[in-house]
Amino acid sequence: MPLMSPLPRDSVPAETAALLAAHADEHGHFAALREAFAYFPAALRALDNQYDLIIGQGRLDRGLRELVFACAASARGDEYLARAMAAQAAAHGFTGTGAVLAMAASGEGRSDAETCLLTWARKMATTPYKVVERDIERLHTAGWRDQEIVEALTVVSLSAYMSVMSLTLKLA
Amino acid sequence: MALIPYPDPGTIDEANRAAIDHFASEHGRPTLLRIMLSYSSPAQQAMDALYHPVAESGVLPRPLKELLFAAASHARQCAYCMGGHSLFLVSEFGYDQSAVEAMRSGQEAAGFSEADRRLVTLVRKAAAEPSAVTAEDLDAARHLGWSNAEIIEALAMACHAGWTNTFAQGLRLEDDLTAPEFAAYFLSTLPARNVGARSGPPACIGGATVLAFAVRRRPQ
Repeated sequence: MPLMSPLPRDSVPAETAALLAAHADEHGHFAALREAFAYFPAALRALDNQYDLIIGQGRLDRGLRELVFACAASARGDEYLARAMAAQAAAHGFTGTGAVLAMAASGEGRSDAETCLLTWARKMATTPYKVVERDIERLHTAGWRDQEIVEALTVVSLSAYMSVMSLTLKLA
Repeated sequence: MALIPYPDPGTIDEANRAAIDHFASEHGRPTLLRIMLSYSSPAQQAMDALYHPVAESGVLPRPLKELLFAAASHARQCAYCMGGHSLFLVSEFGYDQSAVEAMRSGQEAAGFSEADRRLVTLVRKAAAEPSAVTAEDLDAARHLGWSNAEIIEALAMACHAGWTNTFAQGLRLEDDLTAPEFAAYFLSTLPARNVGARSGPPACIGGATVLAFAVRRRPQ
């Protein structure tokens, strides 16, 4: 049960309602999180903007970015966002939401390189302050370049932004 | 050094350079986070619209929101983010350093009300252990007068701390309050009048306040 109810429909300002509707038409996932942010429209706009940029653009395959996000959310125990993003990853090249969720939960990717990236992403999601040189060396050895590592970390960072709100409010 | 080498200043494109220089002109000090984000232009662009529109909008006073960010970063043990925003409260808003250090820890301090402190407590908990936040925590904030909209506005600062703390800690960014060796990255395109033109400590080094925060950058 969420700890805060969404704004009543009739009290959502027209501009905010338009923001909510725009993204709902586009993909429709994590709607409860966006409704929570709608209490503060500036943050909703910032959320939508960064989501579009960080998940929608970049060097890594989009499905892989979404898998990294789902993996980070899963590592934090945020099943709400893990499921939402697993569905997106499935829609962008992976085989089914359930399979993506299993990969996210286990950190086992489709290749050794992906597994290395997901293992690191789980650590960054839960204990980034424990990072050591060897973590980055492993990624380099697996073939990941600095640009890709930074990009993957921005995905984990975005997931942290969203998980703080979803876990706090117990969204489902 | 950070766990990944910073991009060569000579290879940073115009848009990323503008983002880096804009921060330096606004704050009079470098931002290693923005330099590292040059590896990912979409994320750099996202950061442009992530902090200031949120920090400067809404109904909560800007200093309180800065404090909430510093408190969230303190709770998550991110020295990089905590230091920069604590310094901002001292140098730009005139708060006493000891008061900022107390409040970001959730303790009483002059200049902050009981209601402020309750919000700080909630945000610290949400930042460090969001799953542990309870309905009673939200009710306690409401009891002191905070509306749902204000609570979400406050939690947005914890969200932002989650973002930047993860990035700064995950790459082990150095303390850019005391990193003059990175000067080559900054202010290269700024008119001379902007360099050092700010209230509070000059540039990124030298001020007693800056050094004090740098020395005490680990949470107590």
